[in-house]
Amino acid sequence: MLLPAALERLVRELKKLPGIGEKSAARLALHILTSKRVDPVALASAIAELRQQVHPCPICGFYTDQPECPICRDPNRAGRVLCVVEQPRDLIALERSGGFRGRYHVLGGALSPLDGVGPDALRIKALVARVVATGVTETILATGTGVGGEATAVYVARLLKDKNVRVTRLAHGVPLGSELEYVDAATLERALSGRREF
Amino acid sequence: MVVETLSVRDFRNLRSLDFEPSLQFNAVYGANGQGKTSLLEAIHFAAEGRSFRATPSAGLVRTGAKLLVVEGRVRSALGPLDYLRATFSAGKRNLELNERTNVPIDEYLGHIRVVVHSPEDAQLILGPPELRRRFLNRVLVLTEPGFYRTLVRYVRALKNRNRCLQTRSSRAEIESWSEVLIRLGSQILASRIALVARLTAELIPSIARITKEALPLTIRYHAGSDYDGEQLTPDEAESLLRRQSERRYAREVRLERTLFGPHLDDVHFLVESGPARRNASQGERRSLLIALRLAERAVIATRTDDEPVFLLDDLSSELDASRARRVIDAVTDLSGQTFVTGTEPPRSHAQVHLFQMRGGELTAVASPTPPTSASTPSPSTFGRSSS
Ligand SMILES: [Zn+2]
Repeated sequence: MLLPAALERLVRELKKLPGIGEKSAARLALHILTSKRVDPVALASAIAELRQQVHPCPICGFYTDQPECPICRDPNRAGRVLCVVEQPRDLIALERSGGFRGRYHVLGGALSPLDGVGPDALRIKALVARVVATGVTETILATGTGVGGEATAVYVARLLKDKNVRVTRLAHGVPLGSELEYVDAATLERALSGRREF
Repeated sequence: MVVETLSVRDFRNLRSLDFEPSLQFNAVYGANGQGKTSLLEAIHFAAEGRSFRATPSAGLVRTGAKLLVVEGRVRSALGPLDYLRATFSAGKRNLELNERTNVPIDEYLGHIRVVVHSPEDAQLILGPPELRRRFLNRVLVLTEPGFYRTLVRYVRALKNRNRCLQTRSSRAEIESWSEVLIRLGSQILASRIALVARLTAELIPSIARITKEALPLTIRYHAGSDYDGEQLTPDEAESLLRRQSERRYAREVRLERTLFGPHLDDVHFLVESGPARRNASQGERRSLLIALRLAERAVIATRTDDEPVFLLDDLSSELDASRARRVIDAVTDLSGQTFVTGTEPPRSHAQVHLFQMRGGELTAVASPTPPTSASTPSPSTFGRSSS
């Protein structure tokens, strides 16, 4: 290609992002090069500082730039009800619905032996420890409805069986997991209020 | 359901063919190797994106061509007109529905439902269990909403569980996959058992339509030694699978694969309570298979409230004259759309629409009376085929 080396370099980096192919990467790079609205220094430092400052919350696994995330620190939230999700984006979707006033536990994925993901690759031990240590009374399993999400729910439920905690699952008919972020607030709230013993 | 128009490009030996079939009974005749079977395969390809024969789709593209196209306008009993287009090129299939491209197979299926009987059906009796499971699965995909998705999920769960067994995962992890597999598997199992019961009920009248001899025929679903053929509710199916999974766990760990579930089941065709592959003559097997397809047709019609399109390929092979005639009579009595192929046109059926296939070209033959061939007409309604 005839692109200057610096432009080529940016295109190469942008192409690593999901959903960005050669054409979109070139368009974005040219836009960054010429647009008056884009401040390249601000953009670069925002990206660079992201990983320095944002890390998983040691309690729930969500992202935070504090020692603990705002949800885990919020005294007005019911600490004895935990909602277990696969990914941070699921937590964001549930928060947007506004229907849940407890706390969360982010597993970081779902069981998927074909991809080499077993229980140890997920924050499952941390969940059990947390349930026991903080006297959690109800665990709502909001892992995905794909087979991996179902298997994860079964696995977690069995571990919690003798831990003196109520285990529920979000109401059926509501897409979970990767689709959770596309579900509207009312549907999510219905799923939460319609949760059943698992 | 009817196929109103069909266009075929570069499909096997059909270079370019445009076809407006009758909405009732179509008979396509011609010598062997002229493209009769290809035409039925093309209809099947338009319906399901693949042939009914065991040919990989790449082998369907005409030699020398790069792209095969089958398109057609179809109409269901209540629903609207649909426009289907299925192509295959360079290892890639594309299904189009009403001008929307890359339609997933589960959305594409069911806009035209076909039932096929061809000489390859013999494999249903003689071949491996996989073919019989696929036979049941296909009917269920076409008649039960959600069955396809359950099947896909089952296979995914099965692969994951097998991987756990291969990598010696903890028992707790394996059992969480067992649970998922049992739930999905019990739905498949209950659906299949119910289907076999329906097919069995339809089989008796179907047999009576096509043969004078009494063929005491039954179909039995086989789901392991501890299942004795009774009907199961989904809950009962679940406890059967749960029992089997517990009992077989030790062997699973040793053999590193899942040893329970509907992916291992079979269907037994029994004649006088012995296996049809042993107890039935070749002719009886053929009658049995045609009856099975008639039963399949009836079940699909009842469950979907719509007659499927019936494709009968090369009826004359393996079937003697009187049997072939009875089949033709039975099929012309059906109300749906039918396509029959043979080496010679069927005699004496006024409502038959005749088409002649020669060198991949299809010509409508005006008169229902067959043109006299040089030799004396075969006593069979359809001449004998050498294939
Ligand atoms: Zn937190």
